Amino acid sequence: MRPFWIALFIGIGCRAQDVEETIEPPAGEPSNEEASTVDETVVGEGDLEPSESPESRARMRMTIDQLQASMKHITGVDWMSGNRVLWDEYRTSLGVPDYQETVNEDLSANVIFQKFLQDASTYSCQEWIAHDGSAGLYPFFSDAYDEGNLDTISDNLRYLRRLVHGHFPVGEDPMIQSLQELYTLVYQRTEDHTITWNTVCVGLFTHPDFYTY
Amino acid sequence: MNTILAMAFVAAHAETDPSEMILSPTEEARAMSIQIRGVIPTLEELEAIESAGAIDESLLDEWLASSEFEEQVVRHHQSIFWNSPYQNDLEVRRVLFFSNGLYYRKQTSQYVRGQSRTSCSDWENTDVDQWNRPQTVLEQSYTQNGQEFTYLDEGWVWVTPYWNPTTPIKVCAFDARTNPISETGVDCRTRDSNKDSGCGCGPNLEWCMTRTVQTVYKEAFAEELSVRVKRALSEARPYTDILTEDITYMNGPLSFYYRNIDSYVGRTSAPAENIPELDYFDTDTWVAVATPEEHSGALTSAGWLLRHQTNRGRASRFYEGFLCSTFVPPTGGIIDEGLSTPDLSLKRGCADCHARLEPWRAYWGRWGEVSSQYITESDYPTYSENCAECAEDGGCNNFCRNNYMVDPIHADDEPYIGWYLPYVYLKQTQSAHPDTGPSAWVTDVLSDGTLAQCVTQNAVTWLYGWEVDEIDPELLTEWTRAFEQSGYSYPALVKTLLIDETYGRRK
Repeated sequence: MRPFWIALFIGIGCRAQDVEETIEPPAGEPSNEEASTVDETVVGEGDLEPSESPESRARMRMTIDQLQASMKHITGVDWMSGNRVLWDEYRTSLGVPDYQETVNEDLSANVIFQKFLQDASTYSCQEWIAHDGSAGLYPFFSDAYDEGNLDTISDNLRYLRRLVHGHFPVGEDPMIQSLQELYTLVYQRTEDHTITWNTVCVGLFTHPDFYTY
Repeated sequence: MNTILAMAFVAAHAETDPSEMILSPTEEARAMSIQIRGVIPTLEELEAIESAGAIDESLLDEWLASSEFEEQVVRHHQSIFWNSPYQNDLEVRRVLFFSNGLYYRKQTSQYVRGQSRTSCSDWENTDVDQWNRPQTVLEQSYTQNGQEFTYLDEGWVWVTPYWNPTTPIKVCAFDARTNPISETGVDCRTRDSNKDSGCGCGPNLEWCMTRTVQTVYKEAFAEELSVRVKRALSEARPYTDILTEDITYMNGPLSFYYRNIDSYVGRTSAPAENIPELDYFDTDTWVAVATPEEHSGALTSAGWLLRHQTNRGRASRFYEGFLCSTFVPPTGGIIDEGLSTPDLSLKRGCADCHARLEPWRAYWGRWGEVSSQYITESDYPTYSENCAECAEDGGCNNFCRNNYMVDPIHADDEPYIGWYLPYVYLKQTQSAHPDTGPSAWVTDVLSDGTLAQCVTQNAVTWLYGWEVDEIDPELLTEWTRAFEQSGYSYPALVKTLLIDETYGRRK
């Protein structure tokens, strides 16, 4: 594996630029050395990077147990109907093996998975917002949140993105802008902050950044 | 409408970067936590990693020492052991059914009432002796197709069952009897009493179970396999102990089962002498109990043997789960050659798999099929002179016919006349397999490194999400060697894989 890295660095060093760039002359005295000439020999087209890339693991979907535990960890509630935990109720439909009839867990994000995730998110988000985190570790709204203040809405979106997706962006996070647009769109249509935040919350939980790693 | 908007948002942003990405420390920690703790990290943990710019190794060690890690390893191993509760009744004659508010043993009714699948009628019988034996019994009759049938009707008595000591239930009086010896002299604590008219379910119904209670026992058998995995981790013992240790684990229900019910059940036998005295309700306390030397860890546990019911099934699952190989039928299917040799290890079309499978299934040759009982040499000798003689002279009894080679149909059968069936067709070098048991196979695959390599491969597919053919053989060898050098420490193996730079890249 290590030689791949070396080859990759060599490859990057030799990579041709697709875009012509203006080359600024270096500052200071010009060199007395003669400029070297470059022979242009056509060898055909090819990738300058090595054909093999370093090993990397696959992006994986959470198992149903991991999903249930993580959603509960954030919202403080289980997906329930009456006193029934629906994650348990739908285990078979969600592809959890019983090691009798089935022995492999289906970890694809298929339509059934998406449907149940949507339902679980809708329920959990409603409960989380209604209790504002009193059932679990985290409040839904950060301390400074004020529904009349656009800046604090944006801050709350960042807080939720960190909490739900574990995302700590280095620079500007484009998803925050999109979440803000979603927030604005739903609020314009409903004029209801609770419904609006619920939609944002469902959007975060049903996004692959939550259920994959 | 809002659901649709949320979906539209996800659809617009769900496209993940198709190119490989190097994960940030927080992203890497999130993945690690999901995999080895089953849950995302706390926000505080992520913030600490974000401000430190790296995952502190001590945090990873803490996670690897947690009970949550044990739970994730247990779940990973469930996909290898396939441990799940046995699907049939352990002994249907010990099962109390519930009908019309009354508990009764349906399958013993023919012996005690003279009519199969019949319960008592709904009247309280107060005329019983100190053993709950009814002194007054009614004779009932009914007519069917012009024929009159009669049966005994003993009514019911109140009993407080061991599985619910606060709520007495109505139990048909014959089934509620507690006498230790029947009128015909049968010991009511033995299997002989299953078909005897004079025995019941004992004090507090301790010799019987409802199907719900039976499920408690069956779940405990299956869970015992998981306890083995957990103990190897929590006691920092080599991974290989799971497959070799001369220990079984018992919780309250299993201790109760082996003390009170096992003696009636033909398919189980207490795996140890010193069964601990645990309360039936104590499901969470698991006590290690030494087993005789024929045991081989998980591979001879009731959970494994009842889940994988045939010896070929047991060998095949071990081959797939712990040696990472599969039996593949020949291209074009298996050819049936009619009267060719019955020895599957030689038979054309079968031999592709069975040349390997037959000697391996023999490792379980002294463990009953659809059973967790060990079959001793004294009960079933490897070679029976009596069965060999009756094979020559005719007139073999059921014991010989069912368990020994007494009816040769091919020249390849002749050398094995009089041999106990699990030994039949075994070559000289394999003939000790039933006596050594599966531990000998484990020893072989430990010494040639195939077990360690498969355990590593299983961990790689779990943690990296790779298909088997995506695994770089050189990397696998490197990781396997590290696992072996750690003394088969499973947490060390997982740590090796998590801190490898490969884990930090995702495609």
